[in-house]
Amino acid sequence: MDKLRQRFAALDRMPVPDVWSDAMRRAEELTMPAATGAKVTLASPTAVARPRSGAGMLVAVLVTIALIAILAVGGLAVGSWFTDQQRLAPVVAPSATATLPHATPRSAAPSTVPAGAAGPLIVFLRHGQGSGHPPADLWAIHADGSGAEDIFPGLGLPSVAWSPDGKRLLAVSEYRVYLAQVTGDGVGPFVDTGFDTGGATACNHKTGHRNPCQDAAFTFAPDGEHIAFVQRCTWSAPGCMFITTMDLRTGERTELTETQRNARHGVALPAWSPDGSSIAFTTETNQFLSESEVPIAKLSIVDADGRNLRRLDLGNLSVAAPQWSPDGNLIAFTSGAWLGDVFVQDIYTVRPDGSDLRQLTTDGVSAWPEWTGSNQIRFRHGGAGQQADSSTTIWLMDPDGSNAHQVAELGTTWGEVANQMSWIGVPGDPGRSLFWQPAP
Amino acid sequence: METVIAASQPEVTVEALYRQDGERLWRAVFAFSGDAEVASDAVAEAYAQVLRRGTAVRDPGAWTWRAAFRIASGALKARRAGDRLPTVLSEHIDRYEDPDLLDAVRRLPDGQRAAVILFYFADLPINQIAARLGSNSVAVRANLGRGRRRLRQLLGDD
Repeated sequence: MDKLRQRFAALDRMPVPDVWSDAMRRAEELTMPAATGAKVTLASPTAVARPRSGAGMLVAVLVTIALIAILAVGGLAVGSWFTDQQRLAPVVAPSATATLPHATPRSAAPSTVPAGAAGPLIVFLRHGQGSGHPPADLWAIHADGSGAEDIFPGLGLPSVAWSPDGKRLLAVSEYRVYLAQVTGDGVGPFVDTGFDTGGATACNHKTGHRNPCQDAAFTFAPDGEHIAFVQRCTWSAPGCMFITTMDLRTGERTELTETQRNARHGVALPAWSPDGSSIAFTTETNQFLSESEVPIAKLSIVDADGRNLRRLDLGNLSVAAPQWSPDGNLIAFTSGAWLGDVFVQDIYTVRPDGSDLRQLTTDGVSAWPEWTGSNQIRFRHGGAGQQADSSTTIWLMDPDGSNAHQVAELGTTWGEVANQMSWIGVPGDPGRSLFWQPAP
Repeated sequence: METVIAASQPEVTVEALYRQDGERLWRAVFAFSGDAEVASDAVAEAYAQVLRRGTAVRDPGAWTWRAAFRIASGALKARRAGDRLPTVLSEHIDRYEDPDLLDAVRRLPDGQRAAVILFYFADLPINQIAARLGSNSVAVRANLGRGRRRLRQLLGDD
C-alpha cells in the first residue's frame, strides 16, 4: 500500500463526535417559519438553498399564478406545441410547476435572449454560492456578451447538451431530462420529458446499490433523437461505470457495458461520430503519468450498439474531451502532462484508426477543442489552472493547427458573467463549462 | 464503500446512512478543515439538508460528502482572507496519532487538500472526486498531482 495512503488510514482510528442530534435539530430549524412570521412552504429542493428575497417570492408567485391562468385558458397549449414539434412520447405537459418534480422552469415564455441576432448562444452553468449544496443555474449569453440571462434556475446534479442542429437544448437535473426548443425568439421553455436517466442498471444486482447511478457528460447523436452519457453506478465495484444511450422519443436506455472493459475506474466524455455509427470516449487505465499516481486516460471508440470496442494507441498521452470533426476524419482532443511542477495541456488530432497523430498547439495552455460548422477548431486558451475564468480567451484555428487567432476574451466580452467563471462548470464533465450553440 | 438506503422513510434511512458513513465523512472534513468545530457543523448541516430534502436527493451518500465539503470550505473562507488555513490547528488534532500528516495537509491550497483527502483517505476515483467537489476530472488530476508532490515534500518522503 502506498505510504501516504497508509498514513491517511490512521485517520480511521481517530475519535469522532456524534453530530446526529445536531443534524436533527438543524433539520427542524430548516422547516421552521421564516423570521417574518409568515409560513414559508419550500416546495422544491431549490428553494432550500436559494432563499428568495421578498420581492423575488412575490414575482415567483405572480409568475406561477399567471402560468396556471394561461394554461387553464390555453388547454396545455405549450405542451401540445412541444409534443407536436418533437414527437416525444410520453411527454409530461409543462402545465404548472407541480409537474416538474426536480426543477422549475423560469417561465413558459421564451427567454428574452434572442438566438442568432448577436452570434451563437453560449450556455453555461453557474453554481450557487454559500453553504449546503447550492443548485446551479443555467445561463445563456451571446458570443458578443449581450443578453445574459438565467434560463433555468435551480438544477441539481446538472448536465447540458446542444442538439447537433442547435435547435434544441437538453438539461438534466437530478436525473430528469428536460428539453427546450431554441428558435430565433429565444430559448425555452424547458419541458420535462418524463425520462429518468438514473433507473435500475446492470450494476444494481452486483452491488445491492439501490440508488440511481450518477450520470454526466451528455451528448447528442447526429440524428438529434438519441443521447449518450456516462453512467456511474458505484465506485466500489470495478467496472460499474459505462456509456449509456437513450432514445429521446421513448426514453429507452441502452447500456453499453462493454465500454467498461479495461477501464480502471470508469469511462468519460462520450462523443458521437458524425455518421452516428461510433462513440469515442476516454477510459482511465492502470498506467500513470510519469512521477504521478494520476491514471492515464486512453481514447477508445465503440460502435453505437456497444460492440467492437477498440482502444487507440497514443503512447503515453492522457486524453480528455475527444471531439469528432464534422467529416468524421479526425478526432481532436486535449492531452495534459506534468512538466516539472506545472501541468500543461495542448490540443491534438488523430484519425479514428489511431493514425496520423498530430500536436496542434504547443503553448501548454490550450484545451477543450470543439469543431465549428466551418470545420475549424474552437478552443479555450489560458485561464486559472484547468478552469475557465475571466482571463480565459477563446481561439479558433484550422484543423492542421494553422491560422490560430483569438476570437473572444471572456473577461472583456462577458463582463460580470466572466468574473464569476470560477463557479461555472459541470461536475464530472471536464472542460465543457461553455456550451456553444452549433451552427444551424 | 456503498450507500444502501431506501427512499420511503427519509428520516430513518438518513440516520442509517449517517451511522454507516458519518464518522468517515467527519474525519475527512476534519482533515480538510483542521478544525473539529467546522467538521461537526459541516457534517451536521449536510445531513440536515438531506433530511429536509427527503427523496428529492437521489444519492444521499454522495450528496452529503459534497455538501459537507462545500460547507466546510465556505466556513474556512469566512474565517480567513488568504488561501491557507490558520497556523494553529484545532486542539482536536492532539487526539490524532499522526499530527504531522494533518499539519502538512493544512498547508495545501483548498483544491489540492480536498483532492488529496478524497483520494487517499476516502479512496475515491478521480471521477467521483470531481463529482463530489463540483469540479472536473482534469482539475482534480492536477490538484491531486500537485498536492501529492507537495505533501511528500512537506513530510520528507521524497
